[in-house]
Amino acid sequence: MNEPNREGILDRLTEPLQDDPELRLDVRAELAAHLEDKACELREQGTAAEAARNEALRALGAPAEIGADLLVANRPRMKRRARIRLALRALAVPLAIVAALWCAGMGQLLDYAASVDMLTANAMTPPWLRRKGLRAGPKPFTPEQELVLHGDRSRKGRATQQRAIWERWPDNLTYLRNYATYLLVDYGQLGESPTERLKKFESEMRMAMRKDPENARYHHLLAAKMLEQAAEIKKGPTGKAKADRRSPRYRLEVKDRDLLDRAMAEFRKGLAKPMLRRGAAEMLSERLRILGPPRRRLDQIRRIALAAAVLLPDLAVYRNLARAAGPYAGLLVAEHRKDDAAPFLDAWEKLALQLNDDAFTLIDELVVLAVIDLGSSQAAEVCERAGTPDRAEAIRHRAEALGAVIRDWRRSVQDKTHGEQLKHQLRQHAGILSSLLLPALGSESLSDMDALAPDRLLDYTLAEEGLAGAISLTLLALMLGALGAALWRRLLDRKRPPPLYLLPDARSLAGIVLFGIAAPALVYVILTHWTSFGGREYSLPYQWPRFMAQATVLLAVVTASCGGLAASWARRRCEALGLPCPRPWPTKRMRRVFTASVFLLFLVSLLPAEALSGTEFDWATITVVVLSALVGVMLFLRGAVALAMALCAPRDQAFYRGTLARSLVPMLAVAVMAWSAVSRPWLIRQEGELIRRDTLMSTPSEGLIGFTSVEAHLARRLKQGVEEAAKQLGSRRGR
Amino acid sequence: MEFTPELIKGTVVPIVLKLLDERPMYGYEIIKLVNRRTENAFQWKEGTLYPWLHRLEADGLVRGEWQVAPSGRRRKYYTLTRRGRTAMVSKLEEWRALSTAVNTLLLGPVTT
Repeated sequence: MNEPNREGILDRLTEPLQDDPELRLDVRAELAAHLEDKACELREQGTAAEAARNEALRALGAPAEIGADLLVANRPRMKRRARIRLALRALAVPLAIVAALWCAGMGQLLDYAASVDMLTANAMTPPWLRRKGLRAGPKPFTPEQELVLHGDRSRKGRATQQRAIWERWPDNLTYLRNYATYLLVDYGQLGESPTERLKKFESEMRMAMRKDPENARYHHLLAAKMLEQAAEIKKGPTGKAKADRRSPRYRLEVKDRDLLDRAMAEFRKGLAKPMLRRGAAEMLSERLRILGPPRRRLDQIRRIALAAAVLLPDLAVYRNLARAAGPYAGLLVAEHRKDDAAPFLDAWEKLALQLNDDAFTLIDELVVLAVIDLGSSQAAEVCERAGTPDRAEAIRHRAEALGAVIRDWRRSVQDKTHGEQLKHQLRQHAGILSSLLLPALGSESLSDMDALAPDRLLDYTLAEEGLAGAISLTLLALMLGALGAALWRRLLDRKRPPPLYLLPDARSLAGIVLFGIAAPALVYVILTHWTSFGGREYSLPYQWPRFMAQATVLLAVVTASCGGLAASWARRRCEALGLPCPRPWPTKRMRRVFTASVFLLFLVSLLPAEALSGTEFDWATITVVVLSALVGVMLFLRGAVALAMALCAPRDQAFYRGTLARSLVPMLAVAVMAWSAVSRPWLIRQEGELIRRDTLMSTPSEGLIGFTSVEAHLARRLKQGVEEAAKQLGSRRGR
Repeated sequence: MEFTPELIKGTVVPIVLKLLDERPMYGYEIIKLVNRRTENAFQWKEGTLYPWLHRLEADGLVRGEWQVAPSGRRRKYYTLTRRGRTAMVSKLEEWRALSTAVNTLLLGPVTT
């Protein structure tokens, strides 16, 4: 029997299996191998080649009978394979896309955009994104929580939006105080003319005074707005003395004396109140409580941003009142009304202590110092002009003592030597957020270097999240490239039988997951997190070349392993099925160059910290950049060439290329899903753990409130220092 | 001596499983070994072995894997799985019990 007959018999034998072309080819190849073995043995026993082939075919049995038996034997398998194939074709690509986008943190990008919207109230942001804004946890906010966080957004104007919170809970004084803040912010919207605005503002302030009678704030706010209309505070000539430079002289250009007297009378009433409460700390505290503890860096930034965005519009009000009190007292002295002037000569101290009592941020403490310095210098000058130098000296002495703790801290921050040391330490060991925030707080904010670790490691974790996303997107790009090439081949070769869709077996998939995903990830984690080779005791900006090398190696290894393992599985399978396979590409030499580059990059990543500091563009850094670029280009070229080969395959390779492209899709989809499932949850857990451990950049706890924990502690120390000084001076607040 | 096909059918599974317990083999190798060990007593139609192998593979008792032999030929080798080994033990027990019973009935002394 000649060769065409043998092929015909094999076709007939396997015809019942035609619904599963891969299985049919597999069985066909197995029977062909059997015939070959049998014929070969017969030839070795001396049978002629032709006769040996015929005898082998005869010994195999009747084709129709065996074909029917094969169908019966394989039917369950064919059904199962058809179901798997259908599931893979329907689900693999969409699931891989979702997994890759999830791993790349696309959802988080939207959250970031929404946070920016939250902070900037950007009207350009689409409403669906804006609504997503402050979703802190798995549960959506209740309508009440939404109201406390944002006010009633259906209303026009921020003050009326915030008024809605107080209207909902009219007994809550914090909400009333919060409304007063926004009333001050939106003062310009209160009416057409200055008189109309003042009238409306006064009416709201009087109402607030009735509801919150112990609070000095409404009197101060009203006084400040009256003062704005009654007089202009002008800067006088600056003296040469250091104290004068610190606190320039001010004078009043009176426009409406009656209104000025009313304003200052209101100010006096405020100073006589037992307390000043702005409600900012309480409001922030409540909003942070609604948001819950941060679990991600985004949550942390949102909370810091929320704290930083707390409106403190009255700080300028108190500064102006402190500036005006002295000159007003001078005016009264000039009018021979010394007794009336006396309360305004002490106003700075009372105001400073009222403010200090409500202070919770460093800005508050700086305003307390400004009130002390501005007010006391104006008052001392009035005393000197009034011929009471002893009193002027006493005022200066009290101001010096009262503001000493804040001045000392400010001097320490401005000290260049300490500042440089701090910056150097922060550059080497601090996270990016700490480096931005801590220099303004001075070296005392950094009493414990270990405290820098969580924020520093968080930078690496975030960078690794980016890396994980890049790897998943690279694998996704490979998968989509294969899918595109397969579809293109189907389109080109419509008249020929479609390329095979090789069903990946469990072992091949396990191989990809184990050797392409788990093993590189595990080695990376062990090396970077559990040994000193990771360089994690230094900051990411300081050791960026090391991280770049580590990231490139991981990306190259995962991508090349997954792509390579999938392609070599498909090739082996095609060879087993007897498909003609062209010579593999890339060649051994090219593979060696790629492996050597990756290995060299790996070796460079093990260099000591000094050699890899990103502060200088030295040979190690250049090596990392060049090798990373080279590896990246080689990976890209490999993918591009594979795609081009699939798209423009010559006729004799078209079936193989099409089969390769089609069969790579499920394998790469599984790789994308496995990588996303391995990397993303681990990194998110790591991020949450580091945020929980972070004692510097966390929003404060232990009854403190403010921007960050470290600032809140500092603000509390300064506040207590001023209180201590006031106690020693025997200062009295209020009535 | 030629056996009836029904009788042969009942022996294929235990024989294949028992042989694969020795080492992974490809189809033709199994046939050769059966013929040699039974001195060609079993005249299996060679093609009938493959449906049996595929059945066993579908049932998870054996695993087929393409390998390249030292000669350069590509062959599908079958390996016994853990389930296959358990099944083999059970089949051998079954066979032992059956053959004892049949021997007793057919070849044993006649009693009343």
